[in-house]
Amino acid sequence: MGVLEILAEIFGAIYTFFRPIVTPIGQFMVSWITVVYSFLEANFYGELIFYIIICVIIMIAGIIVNIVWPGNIKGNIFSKGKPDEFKVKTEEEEDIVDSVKRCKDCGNPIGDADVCPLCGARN
Amino acid sequence: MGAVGNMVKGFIFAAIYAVVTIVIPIIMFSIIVHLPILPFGQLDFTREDYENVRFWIISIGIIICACAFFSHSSPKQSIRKASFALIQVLVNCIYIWAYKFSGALEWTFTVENVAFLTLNVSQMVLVTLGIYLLTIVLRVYDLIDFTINREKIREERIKD
Repeated sequence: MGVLEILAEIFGAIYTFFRPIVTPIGQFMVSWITVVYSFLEANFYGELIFYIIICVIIMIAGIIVNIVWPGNIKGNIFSKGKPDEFKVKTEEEEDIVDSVKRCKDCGNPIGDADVCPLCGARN
Repeated sequence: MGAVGNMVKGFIFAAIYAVVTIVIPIIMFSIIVHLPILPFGQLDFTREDYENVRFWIISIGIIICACAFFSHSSPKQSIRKASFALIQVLVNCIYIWAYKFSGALEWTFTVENVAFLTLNVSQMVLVTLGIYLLTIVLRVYDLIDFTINREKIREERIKD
């Protein structure tokens, strides 16, 4: 038995096994694709310029979007109003915030003072 | 990767898709249409079929290239990448169906004075489209996932 014959039998078996599931799905796909095709054929068949315009629009949009929002850094246009959007908390910042002494009763930052200036509680 | 790096990556993938979806099929069909007799069989392939399939391959192929550019130039796990990957799969489905109009789905192999064999690969196209539907489901899942976890993904991306 040749290698091709073995391969053909394997693919045949896989195809036969999946055929009852995949073929109806394929037919569903064909139904909507046929609708799209009939629309394109009726309105835009032979008008290559239409597809070229769509292509150019998508590519220019891609270039502009990449310049404005490259992904790894904050965008340089249209994002001036959101300065903290990409701010990542560093460990130092967290340490500073945690090290501030707070009032046991109200949670108000009191620094080195023993008495809370807000609620008057002794700490 | 910065904006320039993203765009270079996008252009590379667009070029690859242009070769795979436009250049190679057009060359193949041109060779087939200009050969008087094929050495391995016959195709129900007229000059009109050739013009028809060439138009669809070029027109849909360039849209696939544009989608590939947008998708591959976007940062990984971004919503825009997932959106255009989904659009690209949908356009790919339409592209594959374009081959139906080529007559390339039915081949007749003739062994002179002995026998002939007709090979109909329409069912195979149906199976391929079925697999494409599963790909569409995966792309939709990606889109939902990236939308829900947007902030987390963005923070991780910027840390890297």
